Parts: sequence; C-alpha cells; structure tokens
Amino acid sequence: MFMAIEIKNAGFAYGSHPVLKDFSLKLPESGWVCLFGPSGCGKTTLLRCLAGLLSLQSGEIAGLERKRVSFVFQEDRLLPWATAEENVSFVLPAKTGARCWLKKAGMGDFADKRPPQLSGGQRRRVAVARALAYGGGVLLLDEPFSALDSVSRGEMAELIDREAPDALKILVTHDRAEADLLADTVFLLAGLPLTICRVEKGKKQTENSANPQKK
Amino acid sequence: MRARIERMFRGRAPRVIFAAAFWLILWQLLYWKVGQEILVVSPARVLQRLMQLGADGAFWACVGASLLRILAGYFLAVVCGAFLGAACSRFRMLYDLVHPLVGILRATPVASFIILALVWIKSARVPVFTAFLMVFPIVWENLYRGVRSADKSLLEMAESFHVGKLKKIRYLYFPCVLPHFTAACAAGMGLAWKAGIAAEVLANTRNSIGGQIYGAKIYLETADLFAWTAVVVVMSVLLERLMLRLIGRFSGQRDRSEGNVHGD
Repeated sequence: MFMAIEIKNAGFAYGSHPVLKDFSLKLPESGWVCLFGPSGCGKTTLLRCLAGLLSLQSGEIAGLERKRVSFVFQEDRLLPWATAEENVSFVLPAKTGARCWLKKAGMGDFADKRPPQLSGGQRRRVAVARALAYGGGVLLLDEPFSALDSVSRGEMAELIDREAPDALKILVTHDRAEADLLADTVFLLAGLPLTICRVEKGKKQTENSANPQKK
Repeated sequence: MRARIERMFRGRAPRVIFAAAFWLILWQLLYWKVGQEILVVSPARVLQRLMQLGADGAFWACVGASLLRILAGYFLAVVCGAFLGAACSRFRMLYDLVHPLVGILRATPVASFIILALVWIKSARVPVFTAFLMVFPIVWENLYRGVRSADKSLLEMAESFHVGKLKKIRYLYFPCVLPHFTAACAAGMGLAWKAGIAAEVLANTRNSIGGQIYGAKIYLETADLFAWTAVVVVMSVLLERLMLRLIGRFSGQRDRSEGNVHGD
C-alpha cells in the first residue's frame, strides 16, 4: 500500500501532560482509516495536529503539505445565526453549490433553517455536507455519526464514500462495530501518551481481499 | 369593576397617558403647596414658556448648536472607541496601555473634566470634549468585550477551513459584537447629552441650551429653567430612540443580507 502521510516522532503536550510522545504513524493515500481508542487518549489532538490547528512540539508530519484537509468536528461548530446553506457556503469561495451539497446530505428541505431550528442529527448532516463541500485529499472525521441513528449512519458513510472516493478518510470513533464496518485499517490506540496497541484490518479490507473482483 | 379597569389599561398608550397625567397632577399639587413661582412653576406656565421659546428662531439655533456639538463628540468617541476596542482585543500590549487610561476616565467626575477642559480649550469645544470623554470608555469596553466573546470553537472551525479574514470579521465577529455595540451606543447617547449640557452650563457656552440654562439661573427665570430642562429631557429621549432605531434598522439589513453569505 502506498503511504501518503507519515507522522514521524511526533511530540505534543498540554503543559506538563504529554499527549504525543515519539508517536509515529503511516497513513495511506486514500481509503478509510479508523482511530479507535478510549476517551482522552489523544485521538482528537492527533486530528487537530493533522488539520494544522495545533503545531507539533517535536517531530513532523510529511505528505500533508499540498493536501487540502477537511474536518468534521466532534461538535457541530455551525454558525448559530446563519442558515444551513450559509453555513456550508461559509467555507466555499463562491456561493454556488451549497444547496446542492445539502440536498446530497438529505438536508435540501432544511437549507433555510438555522442550527437552533434543527435536530442534533440534522446538524451533523450539515456539518458533514460542509466538510464534503470544502473537499480535499484528507477528510478528518471526529465521531461524525455520534448523533445519528443506524440508518442515517449508513447513509452518511455511503455519501462520504460516494462524494470523496479518492480522499483519505480518518475516522475517530468509540464504536468498534462502526470501525470494523467502515474502515480498511483500524488502529487500536491507548494513552496517554498516545500509542498504537494493534493494527487490524477492517471488514471492508477483509471482504475486498476475499473478493478482489468486488472492488 | 376590576375587569373594567383592566380593560381600560389594556395596551401601552393608556398606561403611558395615565403615568404622565399622574406626575403632572403631582407637579401641579406641589406648585400649589409651595406657592412661590421662583421655586416651582406650574406645568401650564412651563408649556406656555416652551411655546413662546419655540416661536423664536434663537431657540432652534441654540438647540441645533448644542446638538451639533454633542453629536460631534459622541460620534468621534464611537469611532475611536470602536477601533481602539477592536485593536485592544487583538493586541495585548495595546490593551495594557489603554485599560488604565479608560479606568481613570471612568472614575474621574465629569465636573473635573469640564473645568480642566475650560483651562485647556475654547469654551465652545468643551461640550464636544466632554461628550467624547463620557462615551469613549463605554464604547471601547463594549467593543473589547464583544470581540473577546467570539466563540473560540467557531474561530477554530473557520481557521481549519481557511476562511478569509474579512469573511471572519463579517460573519463571525460582527454578530458577536453587534449586541455589545448597540448597548454602548444607546447608553452613550444619554450620557453624552447630559454631560454635554452640563459642560455648556459650566462653560457658559454661547448659543447653547446649557448657556440658556445658566442665564435662567442667573436671572432667576425659573419658568425658563424648567422649559429648557424639559427640552433637554425630550431631546435625550428622542436621540436615544432614534439611535436604537437606526442601529436596529442597520442590523436588520445585515440580517437580510446575511441571507447571502457571498453578497459582498
């Protein structure tokens, strides 16, 4: 597998609490990668480093320089005074397309509603639509399906697969079944500091290797 | 009976009329009780004097000149306070420099400023200076707090999507700052007006409401004193309402235009 992004000996601490210490990880060019681990082990910190929101105190991340990184945050982070359409177009250089992305996320009828008028699940859909509209080679998904029911989870995962087929999708989740179902590779993590306990193939990868023609 | 009274006072207008009538009657009773026009004049006499004054062009010249002076100080303070407040929220060192100065401005009695200003500048400019000093700390502090109140998680979201600075100011900071700015403008208008008139009284500024109040006091023209004070009160209420309406209309237009994020 071609490795596109490489985290080398990364170090990051909040004050005197190290979250990343000599942490290394190789990530593929595309596909689903799942970071699975207990709360507070440093998964979100790692995603924030990948998004460039936190600077590593030591080490480096190679291969991200020319990549556009899109983020679905753990919280919705929508502008409460703006409509769903405005929230999507906020991250776009031009207005065109926002409504179309909302339609794809099943939110076409709610484009003119503001976040307080939407349910938790609907707000998650808007957040996913925003990230997909922004696009890019890397899609960071921090528990993106947490407020969705199982049917909606499937729909959202399919939407992401369909609209960002070539992107590397890094999914953080607490749901092992979800990790197994969606991911090609599952990294089982522990902390603190963040360490990789085990690397497993997800069901997707197992199915693909069993039926190569399916791919 | 009770239901009938309740029906009578339904709606705002009857309640306002009732309150006004109550205080006017109380004023009239006080006038009768005191019985000396040099101490308390009747509401009818004040109204008569107001009508006489209103018929004279000099009255409107005084009102206009006072209005111009005080509004000049007010708008200067709004502009300077807004820019400096926003800049201080961005640059810590600037905040450390400006914050103690604003603290001193807030704590110093207005009379001290007026007397100092009389020493430093022409009496016609004292009301401008006083209005500025009264309004500047309020606008500065509210702008500073407004910008600081912007949601950090939303700012981080905007950063992660590389949203431009102007767009961030317009769609992230502006909605956070607007309620603080509106409150500062409304509160500042009343203060500027009152402090400006006080400055005109102490500076005995020519062609001004304050100058007329000073003259009325010197010549013991109590009816004039009451009439000019009534003018100050009415102007203060009108200006505050006008300011709130203007800001409300402006923010309403912004709300509508924000229906189009890329409207700029």
